[in-house]
Parts: sequence; C-alpha cells; structure tokens
Amino acid sequence: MEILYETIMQLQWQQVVMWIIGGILIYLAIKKDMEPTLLLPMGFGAILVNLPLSGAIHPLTELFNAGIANELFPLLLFIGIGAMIDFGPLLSNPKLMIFGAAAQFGIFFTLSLARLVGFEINDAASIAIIGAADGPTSIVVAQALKSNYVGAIMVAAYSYMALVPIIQPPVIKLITTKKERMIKMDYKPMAVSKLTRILFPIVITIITGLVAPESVALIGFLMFGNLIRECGVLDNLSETAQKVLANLVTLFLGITIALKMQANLFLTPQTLLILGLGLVAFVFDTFGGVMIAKLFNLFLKPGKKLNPMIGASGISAFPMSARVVHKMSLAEDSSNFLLMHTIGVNVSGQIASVIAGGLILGFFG
Amino acid sequence: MYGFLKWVEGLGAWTVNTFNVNAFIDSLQYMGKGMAVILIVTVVLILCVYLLNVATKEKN
Repeated sequence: MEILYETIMQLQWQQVVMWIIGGILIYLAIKKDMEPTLLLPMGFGAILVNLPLSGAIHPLTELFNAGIANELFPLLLFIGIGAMIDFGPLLSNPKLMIFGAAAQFGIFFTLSLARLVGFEINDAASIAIIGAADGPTSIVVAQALKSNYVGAIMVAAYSYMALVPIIQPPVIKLITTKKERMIKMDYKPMAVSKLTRILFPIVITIITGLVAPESVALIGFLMFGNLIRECGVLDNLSETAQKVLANLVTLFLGITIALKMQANLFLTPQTLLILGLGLVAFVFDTFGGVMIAKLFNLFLKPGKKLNPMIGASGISAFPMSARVVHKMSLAEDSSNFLLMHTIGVNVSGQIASVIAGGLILGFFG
Repeated sequence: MYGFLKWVEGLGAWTVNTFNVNAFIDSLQYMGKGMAVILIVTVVLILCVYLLNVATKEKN
C-alpha cells in the first residue's frame, strides 16, 4: 500500500497531459486511420514513458541507442520504402521532377522562420525538415544535428503527413483560380526500358552523392531498396523489404521515438512552436510547388499549360498528396484525370526531400 | 493550475526574449543556396533520365 502511495505521489500534471496526448494519438490512429502504423505505437509509448517511475524507460533507451541514435532504424526503413516505390510515372515524364524540387521550399522557409522565433540553428534545421514530409529523413536529420526536440518533431512530421488531405486543399484553392484547377493535361508517357529502371537508382545515388555527400546514406538506402525491386532477380528480397522489414522497423520506430515524449522533454513551450512551424513548412511546400507550375504557365502556349495543382504533389507524403490533388481535379471536372502526373511529381518529391535533408546536414552537420 | 499558467507564461517569455531578426536574415542565404542546389541537381537528373530513356530506347 505504501508503494502504491509513493508511486501516485510521484505523478505530475504534465504526465497526465501526456497520457491525454497519447490517447489522442491512439484515437487518431484507430478512429481516423491517420498514419496508424506510427501514431498508435507513439501514442501508447507516450503513456508508457509517462507513468511515474516507469520501468519502460530503460529498455526504450536501449532501443533508442541501438536503432535511432545511430540512425539505423530510419535507414533500414528507407530500404523498404525504396522497394515500395514505382518510379515509372516519373521516368516516363522526367520533367515532373522540377515540381518535387520546388516543393521543398517550405523546408528552407521554415528554417528561417524558426531562427526568427529564436531556435538554435541545429534545432531550426531539424524543425524545418518536418517539411520534407518524410519521417525517416526527419529522424536522421534531427538526430544527426543533435536536436533537443526529436519527439516533438516526430509527432509534427507524422501528424501533418496524415493531415495532408486537410492541409493542402485550402492552400491550393487560395493560390489558384478555378480556371487553373480545371486545366486538363495530356498524358503521353515515354517508353521506359527495364535497363533505365535498373540504372536510375544507381545514377541518382551517384549524382546526389557527389553534390551532397551527407545524403548518401539516405538516398543510397532508398535507391538500394528500389534497385532490389527493379532488378527482377530479387523478388523475394523485394517483398521482404516492402512488407516484413518495413513493418518490423516501423513497429520499433514508433514506440522507441516515444522515449522522447517524456513530459519534461515534450511538454515545453517550444513544442507548440514546433507544431506551428511544421504546419508552416507543409503550407509553404505546397505553395512552392504550385507557384513554380504557375511560373511555367507564363511561358507555355494555350493547350500546353500545366494544371498548377500538380505542383502541390511535390510534397513527399506519398501517395497521399498525389491522391489529394487528383481528387481535387476530379471535384472541379469529373473528366480531368491528373493521377499519373501527380504520382510522378509525388515520387520526385520523395527524392528531392532526401536531397534537401542531405543539404541541411551538409550546411549544419 | 498554477503550474499550467507558469508554463503559458514561459511560452510567451521565451518567444519574446528569443525573437531574432538578425538570425532570420542570416539564414536567408541557406534558403537561396538550398533551393538553388536542389533545382540544379534536379535539372541534371532530368537530363540523365532523358539520356537513359533515349539510350535504351531501341532495346525496348
């Protein structure tokens, strides 16, 4: 009885708030189907580490050191993600890659904004990478830059990725006209050979590695996964990477990240700012992608103009962003099918966000 | 309740005390450099993919 009393007396109001936050994450994962593979373990983990005198802290610390502090989990996850992605729509229309690049604007805008509100440069850069809309990249960058806010950055990154259908449409509508949103685009893909599909991950790795050596681990593991998928002789490994490896790493990743959701680390005034800045990053990613498409339209002849909404898919939340923009085009005109364009832009955003992560590491690592 | 009010006060104080326009201006160079490098790399990648597609076309 005395032990029970002692434990309860150790309970702080901040820990109760973290239980509620954990409960909200679990609710969003189960009821709203928002990134359930990560938000559910993170939510449960948040409760786990915020029990008074929690015995889970030690094993989770061991897991954190074994898999996140050394960036192993996110890199392994990248093999799975690489094996899942079909770069076909991008390879058949490579100019779409420019929109993926433009949609990284939110990262660099948020970096400056985070500096404005007083974050140190390593924390500002780690917060900015929320705009990569890519969990593993966010973990690698925040961990490599030794940010004090890894937990908050992860919650923001995964929550906003799940909230893409809510965040992007109003931004797109605000900066495009109905006429622009109704523009139809022909889909005339180039034929893509098997050899191109095999050489693509190798070429991407070499070029980005030469420009941003810090990105080699990120882009290399992503492209290794894709090479396994495309080579045609490792179907079993490809399937294992896509399913078993990705699921297993995700399982450990979510609950391990929760270690950084201890009340004293997470429930700080800065967490609110990070959530706000993460939203800004997503909004300005969308803005950057759409605006570059509008810029191109100034130089394109009528009939050849781009639907600027496809630029918004350059945010790398794959494949959600592509679907959101495709649905928006159908809502404007039920005969306007943009899906192949938006998928191409969306996978290019995946590559561009990893390059951006590598650049951030190069600048501040 | 007192603890919560203290926490809210901390948020306000931290934001006001750390607002840093000079840091914002200094960081703009990274926005320029970062976007420039990404766009240049992307153009190189686009050219590479076009070349790959052309070079392997006959083998389809």
